[in-house]
Amino acid sequence: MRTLRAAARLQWWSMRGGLDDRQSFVLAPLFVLLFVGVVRARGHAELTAQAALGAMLVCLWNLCVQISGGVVANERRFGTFELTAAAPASFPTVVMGRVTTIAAVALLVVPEVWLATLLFFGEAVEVPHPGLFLIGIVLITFGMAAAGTLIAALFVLARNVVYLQVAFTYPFFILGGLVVPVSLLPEWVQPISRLVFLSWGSDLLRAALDPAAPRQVELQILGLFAVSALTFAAGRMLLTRLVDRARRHGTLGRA
Amino acid sequence: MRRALRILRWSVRLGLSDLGTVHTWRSWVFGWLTRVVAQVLFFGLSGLLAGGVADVRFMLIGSAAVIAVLEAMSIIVWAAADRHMGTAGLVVISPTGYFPAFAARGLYTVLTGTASSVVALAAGATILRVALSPAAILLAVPVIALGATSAYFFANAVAAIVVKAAGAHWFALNVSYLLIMICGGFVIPFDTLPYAVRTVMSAMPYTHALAALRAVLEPGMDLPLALAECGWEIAVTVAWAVVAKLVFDLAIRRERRLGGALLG
Repeated sequence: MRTLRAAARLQWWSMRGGLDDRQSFVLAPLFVLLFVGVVRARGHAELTAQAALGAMLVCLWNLCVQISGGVVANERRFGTFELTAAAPASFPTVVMGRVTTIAAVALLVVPEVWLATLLFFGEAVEVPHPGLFLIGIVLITFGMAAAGTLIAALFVLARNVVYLQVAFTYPFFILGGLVVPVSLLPEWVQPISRLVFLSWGSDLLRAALDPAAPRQVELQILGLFAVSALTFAAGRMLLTRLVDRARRHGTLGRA
Repeated sequence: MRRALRILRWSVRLGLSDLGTVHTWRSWVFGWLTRVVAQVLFFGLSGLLAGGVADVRFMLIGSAAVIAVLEAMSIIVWAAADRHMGTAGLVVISPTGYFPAFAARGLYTVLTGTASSVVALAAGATILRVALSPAAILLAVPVIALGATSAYFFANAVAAIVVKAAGAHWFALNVSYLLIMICGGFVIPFDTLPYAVRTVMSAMPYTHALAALRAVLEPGMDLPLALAECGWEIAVTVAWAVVAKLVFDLAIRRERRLGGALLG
């Protein structure tokens, strides 16, 4: 527990640094302009809430990928990866503390997107099912922490982090159904999409924004929790193995 | 002239070696190209959701074209890297001058950006079943390259402005890219934007090249319109090249006077 707290403090301190680490918060209003602008320019004001939700999820995902990927990359850049891996505290626990902090801080995007939609388009997005929305947001935060752990593990292998971070964007925007619901994707894509926690999360949040009575909510909640838990288990296992492998091969400092 | 060509040759070679530190052919094909194709599919599907089949072509062309802007913008990050590695000062005191060497060094982003855009356009058209003839795609190549060049010189000007701002380079890149994408008519139809935005954007990079691209790729190819728009884009490109040189010269003169961090 002490390791988790120390890791969370370290991450909080590091996120207060350069603007690049916090850019998704500044870019969030631009994503609102982009996604909501696309639907409203075509006369579909009724899709505003869905597009704003898409902008919110895109920003959450971007923050998760950028900063979680940066956890390992920055350790390498500052030459502290070897020291952290050699410390008695378990490295996966340190990463978990850091990515959970990232996922929690990223939630600031939620009110920010709501406010940007109101300011730019004069529409206050209503949430007809606030309880469901809250459950969705809590579970998505867990999913993001889980995905952050998995991403940090993959970045142990990466030589060029920036381009891997860039590659982790649009394919997941599609698979996660962030703007276009998974049910509208080709049938063969849908099972793959269900392996991404965002696909369950975006459906759940869309149901919370829909004035109609929610349907199949239990399945969506269960799916979101199960996929997030599996992602977390996979991330933790991979992180342990890849760091051990890098330690054995003497390649902690380089990919 | 021979001296200028020599600078160009060496700077381009240096740029290509920069590219080698970023990508292997595998990371370019399986990482970057996967991402750019996913981008056009994402916006194509959004077009389907928001406007129906007719909007898929509009979104496909715009979202493929804007990829060249993104790659051209990456020069903003390289300017900062040049400073961090301590090589900016060496180039500044050389007889060549900083701007020609720097601008030529990143020209590869125009080539890779054009290639990425064209691949995304062709792949997106195939997957989304948008009819684009091979001749039209071939004609689109120089138009995209022109737009990318224009965006590249704009990116040079931004690079000169933010080169000293620690930790703000990716931020500057993303803001510039997103603003051009939102206001340039790439995914939001240009004629639905406010008049003031359209006026400003007519002097911004790629706006005219995009109009030319649409004239080439939309059914009933309008070549005279495409040529006229390309003429405007060339004027905008030259203007941004001049602006970029002026901004770099000013920044370097100021740093020389103050002994500032750009040279350190």
